[in-house]
Amino acid sequence: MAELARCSALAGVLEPGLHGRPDFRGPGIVLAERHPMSLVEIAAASDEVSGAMCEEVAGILGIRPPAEPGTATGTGRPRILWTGPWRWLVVEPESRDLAGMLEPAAGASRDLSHARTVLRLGGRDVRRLFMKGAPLDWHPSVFVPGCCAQTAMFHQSVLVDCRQPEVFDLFVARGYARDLLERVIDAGAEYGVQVS
Amino acid sequence: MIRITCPYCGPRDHQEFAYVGDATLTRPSDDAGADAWYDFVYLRDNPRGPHLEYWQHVHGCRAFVKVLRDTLTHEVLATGTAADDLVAGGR
Amino acid sequence: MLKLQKPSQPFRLEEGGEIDRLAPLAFRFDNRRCIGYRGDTLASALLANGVRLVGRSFKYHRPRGIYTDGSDEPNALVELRTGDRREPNTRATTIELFAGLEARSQNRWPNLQTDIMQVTSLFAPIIPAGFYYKTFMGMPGWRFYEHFIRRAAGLGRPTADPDPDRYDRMHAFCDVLVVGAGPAGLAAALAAGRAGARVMLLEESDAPGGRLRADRERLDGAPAREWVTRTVDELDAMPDVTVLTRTTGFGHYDGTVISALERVADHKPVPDPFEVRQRVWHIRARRVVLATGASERPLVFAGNDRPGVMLAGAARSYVNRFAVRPGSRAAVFANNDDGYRTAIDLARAGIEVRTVIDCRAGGQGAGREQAAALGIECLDATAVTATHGHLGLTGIETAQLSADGRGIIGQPRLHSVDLLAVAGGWSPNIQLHGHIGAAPVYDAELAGFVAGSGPGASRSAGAVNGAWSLGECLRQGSDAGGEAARLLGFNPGAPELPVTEEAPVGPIRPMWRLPGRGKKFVDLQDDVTVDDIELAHREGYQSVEHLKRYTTLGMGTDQGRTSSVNGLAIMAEERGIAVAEAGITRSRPPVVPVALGAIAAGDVGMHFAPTRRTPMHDWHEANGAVFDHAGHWLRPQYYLRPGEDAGDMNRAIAREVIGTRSAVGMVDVSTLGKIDIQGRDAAEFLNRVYINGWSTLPVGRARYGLMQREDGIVFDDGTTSRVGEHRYFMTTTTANAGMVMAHLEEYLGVHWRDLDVTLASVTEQWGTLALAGPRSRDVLARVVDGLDVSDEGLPYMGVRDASIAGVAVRLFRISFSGELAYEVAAPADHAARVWEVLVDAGAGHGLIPYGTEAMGIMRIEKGHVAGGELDGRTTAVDLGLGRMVSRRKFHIGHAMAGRDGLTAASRPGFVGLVPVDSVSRPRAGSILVADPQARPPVDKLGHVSSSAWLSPSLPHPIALGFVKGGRERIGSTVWAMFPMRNEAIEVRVVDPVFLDPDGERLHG
Repeated sequence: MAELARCSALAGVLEPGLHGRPDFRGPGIVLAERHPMSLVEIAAASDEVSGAMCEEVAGILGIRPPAEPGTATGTGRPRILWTGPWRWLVVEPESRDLAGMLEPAAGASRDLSHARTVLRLGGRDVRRLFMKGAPLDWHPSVFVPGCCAQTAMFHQSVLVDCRQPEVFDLFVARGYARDLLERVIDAGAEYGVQVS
Repeated sequence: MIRITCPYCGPRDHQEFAYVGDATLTRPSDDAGADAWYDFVYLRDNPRGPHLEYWQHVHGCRAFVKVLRDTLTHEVLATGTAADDLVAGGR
Repeated sequence: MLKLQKPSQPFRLEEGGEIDRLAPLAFRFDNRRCIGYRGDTLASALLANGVRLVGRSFKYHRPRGIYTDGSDEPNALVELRTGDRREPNTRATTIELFAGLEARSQNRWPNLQTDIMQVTSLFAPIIPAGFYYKTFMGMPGWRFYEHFIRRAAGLGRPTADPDPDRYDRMHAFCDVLVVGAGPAGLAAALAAGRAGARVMLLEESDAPGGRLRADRERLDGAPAREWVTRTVDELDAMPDVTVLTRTTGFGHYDGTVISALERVADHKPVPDPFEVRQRVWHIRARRVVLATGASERPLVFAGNDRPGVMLAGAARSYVNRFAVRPGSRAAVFANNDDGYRTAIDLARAGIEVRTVIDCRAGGQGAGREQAAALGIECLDATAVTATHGHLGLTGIETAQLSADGRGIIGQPRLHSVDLLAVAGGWSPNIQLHGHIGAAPVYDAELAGFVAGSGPGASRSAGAVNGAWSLGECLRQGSDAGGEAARLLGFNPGAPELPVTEEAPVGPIRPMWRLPGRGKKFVDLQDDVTVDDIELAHREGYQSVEHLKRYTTLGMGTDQGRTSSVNGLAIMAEERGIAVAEAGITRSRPPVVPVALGAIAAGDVGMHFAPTRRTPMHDWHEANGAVFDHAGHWLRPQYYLRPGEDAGDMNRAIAREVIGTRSAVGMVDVSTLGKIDIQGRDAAEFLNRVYINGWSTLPVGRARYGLMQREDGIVFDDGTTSRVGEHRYFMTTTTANAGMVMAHLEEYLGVHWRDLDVTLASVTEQWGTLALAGPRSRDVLARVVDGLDVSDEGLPYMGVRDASIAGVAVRLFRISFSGELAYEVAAPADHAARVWEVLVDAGAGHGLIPYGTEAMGIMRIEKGHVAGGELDGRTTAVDLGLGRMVSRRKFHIGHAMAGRDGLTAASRPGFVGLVPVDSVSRPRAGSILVADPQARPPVDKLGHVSSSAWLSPSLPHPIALGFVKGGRERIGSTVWAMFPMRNEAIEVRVVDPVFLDPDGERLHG
């Protein structure tokens, strides 16, 4: 199959530049889309199958899916996020046939690469921005790198992955991506949002 | 506002959950007969006090959470997974 | 400039206070230009300018002035700002002065001094509580009177323009939340903060301090303000302590959640660019300390509402904090020692204090001697029995009280004063306690209600807890903050409390109403008098909740903070019961008025609900689509061509139907729910959730499925394809996608945990389109690689993988329109490209995009059921789909579907309907009856479930519906009635498949 450029849900919508209040310290929030991404969900229906599946996945990727709910493993190529009991999302920038690699004999895998839009958000005010959107404790001593959480942000289901103390990946259903982007830029206007 | 502790995700606002229903009921076998099905589909107790119910963590891990909730005070007394047995005096 | 201002603020003190005399601010009240200072409220600036009359009362239009210094103000409500920011009923006592402020008095015409509606006051004896409703309601023409009655008894005018400001919502978490930053709150926050807890401290006004800003207290041998400054500095230096000023806790909810309103920019002329005006905080705290203080109560005596009558604590606040003299010659009327403290402070500010009138016969504390030493006359066992003055107080009458306090002895004496400070005791602000169900408990020693124990992790400290002395407030605050921290595992250490200098005080003498002739106001905002309460008693509205609703006592913006206790105590006296027995009304959020804009925050306009867009959205937008909302989705309803407008809707829809039926049309169906089902038990799972069987479906085939609820009613339909040995691809309707997913998850998560099946929504992974019409195969053949799309290569209900323009797609030979049709699923990021490739390929074949209207018409023409038919009341048999039910297996709804009521022959069956006149359009929702002339109750034969007002393929409108007897009635006529529009249309019952009943078009 010929390599085709993927068209992001935010194509033509993401306007680079500063949105909102300028600040001599620089923008309070920086935002960029991570695209194209490979996203594969792996899931099992029981403890036994899940254990076998994780074993297999660890063998394929060299990284074991995290056992602890609300946590992630891996440094990014790939990163594996806990998304539910016996369920994980394997994530990396698109560079190989991740979905093709991940077809464990135990459990199920599904390509969700096109189903989510991924925003990378950073900056000194990004935790305050999250406070506006979602009723989760975003305190830097609580939501630390290695944590991920699913919640409702601005009324939409999202998955948030803390990569560094002030850097987060935000996963949202593709169809809602534009709406969420508008909400983020609107809510972040008082801090200044630099879109790149 | 009710704060519900998802056994996987921890304490969350009830807005992240969808109320599912009475967790004291067991789905009858397929051939259980009309009375058993009638009970399961239509009859509900409305206790004043502790009540065992299912909530789905729809904006989170999507798990079905058993919640023992006091209908009088709204206090959440205990939570667990669908497989957990929470009934401690409540029903 | 400064020189000119001096005479303009004749009541400003030369020194003292927390105002900044170097920052003068010009403002307007009605048409008067005034000057105040930074640090003023509108109320203090008005008093400094000698403005005492600020409004007219709600019902009687009586002149009213400034009564308090805070958010409990019942009187001084003004219309603030102009244009699209005009806001009525704002309290002058909480509005921080800013340059250019414009405020207007309310509820007067033509102006504040000459308000013609004041004549209502003359009729006051005949307009008691409930007068308007008793007199006018039920009379012919109530609607006519109502307009004038509501106009006469109204408050300010809001703007009718859209709000230009931004509002915001913030979710916060902390260990210890302290509400109120007076001495108790500060001490609590300090104790918890020093222990290392994450603390939030909320203060309603512009700075912490509470009564320490208003009273001349000393701590550690220095003015108490110095301790406040030190404490705030220490709190500010703690990284995990957040002090929010201009923030009022307005609601207390289960789960130890407090909601608070932060007035971020209300103290500015307009918010800074991008700044929010107000922010609502929802704070989830592990422990809460409520240090909300107390509100002073008025004494209830004749003429107690005249401008110039003011609460004693407010008078002290004006002289001490704002450096304003609220009058020139003052008297103080009290039932407790606050009277003397007030007299002393007023005298020190240069006000001529003539008299302290004390209801008590003795037992006063040290204050009485100090006041007397300043030359102030102190009258014991005396009451104010009347007041004088038209637009402002000019004098009062006092008289000796009888021993029981109910009558007077001797002749009244006249005092010439323009300020009467009234100290009736304090009511703890227990509203936040009440929200979570803590019952108020009457404390006779305090003559007030404190909060009893309630659920949740909160406790009170300070005046709200009945602590009247500063030392006790500090101690309680420190204890509460320390205990909260300790309970959370922190170590608060030993408390360090500042040393207080307090004189002993005597007990309060509760005096709920005083003798004298004239109107005695209990609730100044709602114009509720003692007479009204007596009337309520006589008419049987005696419980506090009835009293409130009958008289409107406590229903204003102040939520009865100055009036509730007096009102219910008077009722208790009438009933001859103890105040404790009468109880107090239950408080509910919000404690203070909260703008709806602040609650809505960013959820407005297009963001009222989230908007969901398909991958092909931009193409639709660029090609004339008119969008319709389907849940959160935006779907093309129809496409307008250049030069067309909304008036061309029917033409556009007809064009799309005809284009599809005659050549080929394409519709975006990405919104259908798509669920990936995997696992060894996947086929068994489908057997259980659908009424039909799945065991025999081979890989590469799709099947139509119908789901029931457990009660045997049809829930949803769609096609499911087998795409692998243990893998299926389910589609659901757009409307039910979320519900079906949750339904399936529930069965796997709760009832059938042993099944080896996993599910995932893949709705967003795929952009899907349907290509329909006699030329659809020709178009597809031009672009599809790797697949023969002939009837052999891709048979009806076949499913194949292929590629289009390099994109791996999945093709389904399924049809909703009844035409030869395909659905193409492409990964979402490529779906728009696939759509465009098909548009290009179809150009020579007459391809036309169509929207949901054309789609709906074509499915009605084919008699396919959809939302109108799957309405939660119909069974598979009702829908004419009874043959689908598999008898060889159990499935959801199996047990209940066989009940008599669901299988009765009398149930309306699915049919088509055609107007006999071939022109009329029976509306969806019309009721089917046999006789259009019949008088109710009419026997209902059924209803119209879907209607196509135009059916380009047929020469008449068509509809689907359910009618008793079902297909047996085919050929007969019934009447479709729509009484709300007076429509009666005779319709012929026909087969629900209007077009191509043999399915010849479907198979090309």
